[in-house]
Amino acid sequence: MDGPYEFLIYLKKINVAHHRFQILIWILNGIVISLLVYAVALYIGLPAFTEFYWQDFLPLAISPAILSVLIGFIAASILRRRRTSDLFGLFEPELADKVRAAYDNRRARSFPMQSLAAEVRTSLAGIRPSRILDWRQVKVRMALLIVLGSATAILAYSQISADITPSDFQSIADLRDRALDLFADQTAEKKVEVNLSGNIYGKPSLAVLNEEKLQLVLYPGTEAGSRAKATEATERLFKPTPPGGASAVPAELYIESLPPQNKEIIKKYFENLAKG
Amino acid sequence: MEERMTEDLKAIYSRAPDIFQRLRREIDKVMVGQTTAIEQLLVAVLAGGHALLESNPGLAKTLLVKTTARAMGLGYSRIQCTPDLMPADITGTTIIEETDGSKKFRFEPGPVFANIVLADEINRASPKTQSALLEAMQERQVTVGNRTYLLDRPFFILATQNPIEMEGTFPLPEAQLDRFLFKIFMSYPSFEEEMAILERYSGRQEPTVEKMVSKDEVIGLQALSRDIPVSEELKKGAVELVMATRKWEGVQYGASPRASIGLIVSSKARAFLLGRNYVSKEDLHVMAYPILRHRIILSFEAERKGLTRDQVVADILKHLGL
Repeated sequence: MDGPYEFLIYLKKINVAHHRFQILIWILNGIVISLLVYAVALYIGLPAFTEFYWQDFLPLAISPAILSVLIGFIAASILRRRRTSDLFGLFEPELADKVRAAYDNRRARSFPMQSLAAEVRTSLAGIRPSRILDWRQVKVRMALLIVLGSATAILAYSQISADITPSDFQSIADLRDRALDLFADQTAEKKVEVNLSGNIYGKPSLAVLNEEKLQLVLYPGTEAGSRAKATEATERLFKPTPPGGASAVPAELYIESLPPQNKEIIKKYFENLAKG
Repeated sequence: MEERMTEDLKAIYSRAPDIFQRLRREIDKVMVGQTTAIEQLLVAVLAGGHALLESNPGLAKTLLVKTTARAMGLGYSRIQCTPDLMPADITGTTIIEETDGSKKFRFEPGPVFANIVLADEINRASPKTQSALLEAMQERQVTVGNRTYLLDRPFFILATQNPIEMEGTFPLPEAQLDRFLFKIFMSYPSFEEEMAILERYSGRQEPTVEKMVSKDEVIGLQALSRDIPVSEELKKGAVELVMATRKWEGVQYGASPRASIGLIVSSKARAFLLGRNYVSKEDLHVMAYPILRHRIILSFEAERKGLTRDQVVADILKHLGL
């Protein structure tokens, strides 16, 4: 690579700088999209849900965060493939045509090619790679990153969330139950049915009547339980209420939705629980 | 020997911008306006292709060709095509010649043995004669009897067609049209141009043209124009453009791969003529019209709607972003 063909060395330098710039844009895109996805997850309360149900298994407990990062970087990769920034597009249109023609014919040694190579070498020698990169793209992404980061922090440490009722989680819980049913053996199921634990949230059922499992499901939510992350430990407890008063139990939604013949036994269960 | 040729080429390359400038200036001494036609004619000569020129009578077709030939120092001949013109009238014939009491056959070359040949109103010649001419165009050689004669280089045919008189003509078949690199249109001059024509040609003395370049230099320029670098992106663009003509709505038959070659070769020649050492997108755009307009056949429906071939080319260029 001598004489006029030195332009290839200059072009290589610009290419390296451009490649690094592309990686930087990819990383920033990945972070921005991850933050956006995680912010949405926080808003609908997904991290609290997973943290509660899979608190013993860390990868599942933090799965919303992991998924957000995965989605973010997959989306950034797709964006990178679709919007491949052309190296030659960095130059002025006339110089871009010249560089493109010179690079594609770099093995030719004709007089026109030699004169073109010499022109391109002179032009590229006067270009500083960092000068021709579009730093505005980085600035825009940094600004987005700050805005989204702040929004995510606010969502994480405040009570702002979507108005989601337990029924919104029903389908997720059902799916999970079906999956559990598939893998769980019969003995384990019986054990769960008989030994009622002190944990009043979620499935398995809290009570059995005439060997029939009652479909009583409690989810973490306002006053019916607790949000594992956002609330104080004390708030998670049920307030002791005088026995008999149905209104004393804030989980009325569930009780009201139960068959009338099961109401009594459930009421008793809550009374016992409150006493305990 | 090769080194000498290389040195000569280098010298021609360094003088090329000056040669082209002087050539244009010399042609402009005689021609008024018609800048596009002049440019396309020079590009065709540089690219080593032939051109079909369509214009109404009296628009200086013959003058343009004669002037170009003279300014380039090339041999020129003119064939006025008529229905009774025979192939031998073009290619030449073998005659018996008596020298020192003995008789010998001698080949008398026809008008096709020139560097620049103007075949006026080619569509008036019979298909047989047209074929003889087109064979010479393609092969750059003429076979008479059992002997083959190579044509001098550079060899360039400019055939003209009169678009308004179709009676008693034999329109060129599409396959033969494909052999012409360009189809050039010459339009009527503007008011100012016609005034300038009056001024220039109504006096006692008509402008004269001087030789600005030698035949060897023209051959050197042709070789150099083929060396002009063109990017892969533009090559792809040329192929996409030609392929698009084959499936474009309103086009019955599209252009052949000869059009792709012609597009790149003529774009190189244009870039060289304009003093550039690389082909730009603009070259491809400008050359697309004369290259494609005679190579695509519109469907009956499209012609009925009043669609022209140039419109189709423009639409495809726009669609491809060229």
